[in-house]
Amino acid sequence: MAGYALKRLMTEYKELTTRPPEGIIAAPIDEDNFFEWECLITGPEETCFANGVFPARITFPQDYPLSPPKMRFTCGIFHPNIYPDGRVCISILHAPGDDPTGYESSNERWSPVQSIEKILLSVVSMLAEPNDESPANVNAAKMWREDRAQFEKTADALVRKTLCLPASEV
Amino acid sequence: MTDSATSSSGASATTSSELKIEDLFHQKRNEDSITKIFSAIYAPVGIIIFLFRCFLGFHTFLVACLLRKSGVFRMHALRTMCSILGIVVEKRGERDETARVLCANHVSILDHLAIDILTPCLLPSVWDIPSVIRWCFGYVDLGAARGRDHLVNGAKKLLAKETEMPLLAFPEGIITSGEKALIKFNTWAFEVAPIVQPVSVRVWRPYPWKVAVSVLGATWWTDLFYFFALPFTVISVEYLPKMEKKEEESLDEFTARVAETLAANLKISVSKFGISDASEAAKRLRTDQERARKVVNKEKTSPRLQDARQMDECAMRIKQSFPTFHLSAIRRDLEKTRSQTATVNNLKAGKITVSAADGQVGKVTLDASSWRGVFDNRKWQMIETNRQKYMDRGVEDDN
Repeated sequence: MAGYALKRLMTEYKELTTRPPEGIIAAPIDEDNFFEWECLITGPEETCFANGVFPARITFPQDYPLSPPKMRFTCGIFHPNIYPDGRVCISILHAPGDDPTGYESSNERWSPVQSIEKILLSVVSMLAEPNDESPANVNAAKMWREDRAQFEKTADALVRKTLCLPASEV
Repeated sequence: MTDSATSSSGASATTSSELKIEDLFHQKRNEDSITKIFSAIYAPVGIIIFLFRCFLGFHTFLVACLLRKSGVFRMHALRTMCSILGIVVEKRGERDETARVLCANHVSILDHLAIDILTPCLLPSVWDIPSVIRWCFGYVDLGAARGRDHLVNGAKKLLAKETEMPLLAFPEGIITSGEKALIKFNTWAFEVAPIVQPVSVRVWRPYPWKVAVSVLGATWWTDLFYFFALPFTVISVEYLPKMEKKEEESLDEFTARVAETLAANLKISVSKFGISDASEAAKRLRTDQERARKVVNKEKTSPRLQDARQMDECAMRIKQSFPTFHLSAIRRDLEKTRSQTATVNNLKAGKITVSAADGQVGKVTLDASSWRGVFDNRKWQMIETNRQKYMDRGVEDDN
């Protein structure tokens, strides 16, 4: 099982390295352990996350790609669909069986035909369009709905942090 | 032997108006580089002597505790043992029995011991020392902590009860170098009795063991360590003629007169600084040193970067302060130095290799082992480009 997972991950690694999608990079943290990856996602243009480079970790199960990987941001991102501890709550990362929120339709769920690239692209669109119907971070969802300016300010502070820029003067 | 000490202090005596409070103290143990080098060479010998004397010191301690004060035998026994411990006590002048209060200048932690050996005396404890040692060396607690009135009354009562031993006071209240000027005397001791015998104390070490006996803000055990580790230290005690308070003289005037006499004997002046100025200076010095030490510690413990992740984080931290350097270059240097401080120093010194390949990914080969490097390159480049874009965006917004 793990052998197949490795082979599959290797293929994806090659694909991601030779033909990287715009604004996304990913690689195993350690060449000895292909089940732990690190990735960087550029915040989508024209949003409050634009130009931010957000680091995250992806952990693959031994039976990948039958089971979905888990993804966790390591930069303390404040977003309605990301738990305060960084875990990403997005339908593509959920197997068809379990549905913690009940809002997701089956065709958006995880299946072996999905890939790391697709996950990361979904995460980018999630950053652009938060889904506040099934929030993972209630505070973020609330702020997103009620105080957009403050939300954007929080996002901007994080963007600056990920770009090694000092905190905003304002 | 004391002549050299006197002449050197005499030469350096200046008027108090030009003096700074710090000048009254030794700041460093070793003032010049020759003694510094010599100390380093002597250190192993010194430590052996120190250990040997620690055992002896313990016996001296027992003798001091067992034999009661004012015995002639105790005096001689202690004086001999102290000589072996490297504390040579010299006596000049005569003790005047009519004066019940001795007042001395303070140059080392063992001043009272030296005087005590020559004339057993009582010392009110105002110093911060463990009570066991206080008891052994014959300190008496007169309640100095509860205020001046308590102290004066306690001292008066004690002198009435104890008819033989005089009371020894260090009206300076703090150890000075004894080479520049005296700290302004505290008046309490002069209120206890109208007749006072001034005692001048000089301390002197042979060249090249010219290690300061006490430095500003030093602890008593470090002072003691130097006493034991160095071959010998001469404490010369000189009894000056007794002084009596005149009828029309106020307490302050009398105190000042005694201070002048003592200072004249030491060939130094009396400064305008009081004990509070001195402790203020000591505190200031201590905070300065602590700050310096903290900086050094920080540099020392600037944790050795173990794994790639720590180095990445560190590179990003450094980038904040040195935005002109490419992240790849910073990270590459960190890989070599494994220390934030070292890399920052390299950046400051311009000793960082800037390679044209920074940010250039180049051709991706099919060799999987090179991909990690590709990822790292892309990662830093991604941050750099977005950083640039973000800042350009800010400019456009402003326009």
